[in-house]
Amino acid sequence: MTNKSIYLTMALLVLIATILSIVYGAVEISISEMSSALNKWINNPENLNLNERIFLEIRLPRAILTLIVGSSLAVGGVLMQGLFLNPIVEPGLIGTSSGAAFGAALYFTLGAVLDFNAGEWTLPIAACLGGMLATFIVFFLSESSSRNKTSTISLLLIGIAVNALFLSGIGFLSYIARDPQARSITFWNLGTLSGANWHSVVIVGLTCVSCVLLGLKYAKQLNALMLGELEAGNLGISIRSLKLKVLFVNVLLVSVATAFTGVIGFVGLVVPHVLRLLKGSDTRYLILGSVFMGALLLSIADILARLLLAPAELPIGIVTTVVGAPIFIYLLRKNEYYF
Amino acid sequence: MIKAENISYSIKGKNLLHGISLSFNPDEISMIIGPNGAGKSTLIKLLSQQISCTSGNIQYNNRDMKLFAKSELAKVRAVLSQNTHMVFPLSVEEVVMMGRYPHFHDKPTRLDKEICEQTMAFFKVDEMAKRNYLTLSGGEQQRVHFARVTAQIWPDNTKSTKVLLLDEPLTYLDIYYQHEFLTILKQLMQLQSMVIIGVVHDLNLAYKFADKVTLLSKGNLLAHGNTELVCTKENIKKAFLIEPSILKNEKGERFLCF
Repeated sequence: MTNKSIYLTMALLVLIATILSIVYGAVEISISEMSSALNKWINNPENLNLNERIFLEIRLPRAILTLIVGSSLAVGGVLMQGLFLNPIVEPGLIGTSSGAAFGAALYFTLGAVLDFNAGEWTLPIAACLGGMLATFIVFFLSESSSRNKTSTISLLLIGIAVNALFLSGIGFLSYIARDPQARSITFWNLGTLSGANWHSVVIVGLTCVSCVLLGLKYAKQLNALMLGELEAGNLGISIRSLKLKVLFVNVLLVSVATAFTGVIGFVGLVVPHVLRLLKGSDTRYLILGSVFMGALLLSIADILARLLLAPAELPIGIVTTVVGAPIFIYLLRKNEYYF
Repeated sequence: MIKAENISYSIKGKNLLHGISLSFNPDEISMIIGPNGAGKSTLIKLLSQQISCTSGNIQYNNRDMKLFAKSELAKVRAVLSQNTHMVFPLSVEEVVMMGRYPHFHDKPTRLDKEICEQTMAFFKVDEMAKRNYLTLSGGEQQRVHFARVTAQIWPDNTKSTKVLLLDEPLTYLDIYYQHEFLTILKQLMQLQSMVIIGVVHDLNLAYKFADKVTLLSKGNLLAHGNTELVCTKENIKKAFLIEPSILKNEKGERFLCF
């Protein structure tokens, strides 16, 4: 199978999953309602009936946000695995997600006290700052601990420590939080796409597109890094600057996505794995493939999250983990994969 | 040509190389020999600028090596390390193509592809071009890397001198491939001016293929020059603490025997 046919197949599946996720929900929306809503939206945005409004204001932005967040997390996974030369790394591993979650928890419990308010942007900003803070703490600690040489191992170990620190911070905040606040922290930590609107689609979408383009720009260098830091250096690559750039792209991708949806695990881990098993590890292919497969996986997860306990909705992070973990274990056991 | 002037290297208060000066000429195969801890790898790392010398300087073609941009250096200088450990599955041809990375921007040109095909054929890995690198044996993997570094400094009809640095690269190879590799290097040198410097453990390999030999011991330069002049009984004994016998075969080639 060529790369193009893989992308095409996945694009088709993404389209099907998207339509299904729009159709099914508390109310079913037919294809004819969708097309009439789109028609009215373009020509005359008044006179929308209830189903058409649900489609335009809830289902459609949610479906699109799901695709973008899925792509973002998967591409983040590719970048991190490539940077750390380790197939079990995901964006959460170097503090990005737990930092973002900490930022969000801080907002939920102490937002009113700290008197920091940026309207509907407050939560995303808090999460984004948290994610960046954690990631850069990890990076600079590991930099200074190994004398100007970013050793992958120390980066990873410090990531684990910082992660634990931020997680206990979240634990503390939910301990002192009042009941409804604690519930929002929990819900946010498990991930949810129910807050989707056109604002979030635009912000996460723009971030995702620019980060994917940047990622593709670094694809060749990340390929060379697979030979190890030394050999990549011999091929003329400046390892330190590559690490900083790729880390920055990953922080942006993951914390912006996490800021709007909460913590969604496993997508960044499973997608690159599956792609590697399909057709090797060329970074360019992995990034483009992740854009499609990440979107597909999260779409399916979102459909399940809404259908399994309908009319109630499961946190999507639970679904991705429940779906992702067995696939991951199955793939590792079944296929020849060398570590 | 490569010229090192009074280079020293120390790390954590330990002096690994004590101010040595030497030069390597193009169109010669130079080999560095010496017992464990002599500073062979340190010297190769300094010459390839993986590490920078504590004092002294190294010149490539009469220009201080530190003045080269990394990307610029990568076009003329390739390094083959002792072992390259890879984690992710890549095909053999993808690994070989990495040797061309310094030469193209985004996508490989037809020339890059042709060069890779040629080097893969050279090292007889062309038939496994589509195979997963991780499934190959140690020796096969090493041949893939030979193809890669050769692609990196493939002759390009310019007048620049290319540099190939080898840090004990022959370790996992059959004798056939050890000899094959060194013979191929000699062929390449006919096409373009090249400085080739390698660390080897097998003294007889140095005897057979090296034009110049550098003998190191405890971070000092013991001898440097033509193979016959350096690899004498006395020098070898001084460095390795064992006196060799020097034998001659029916073709008149000389061998060291311990």
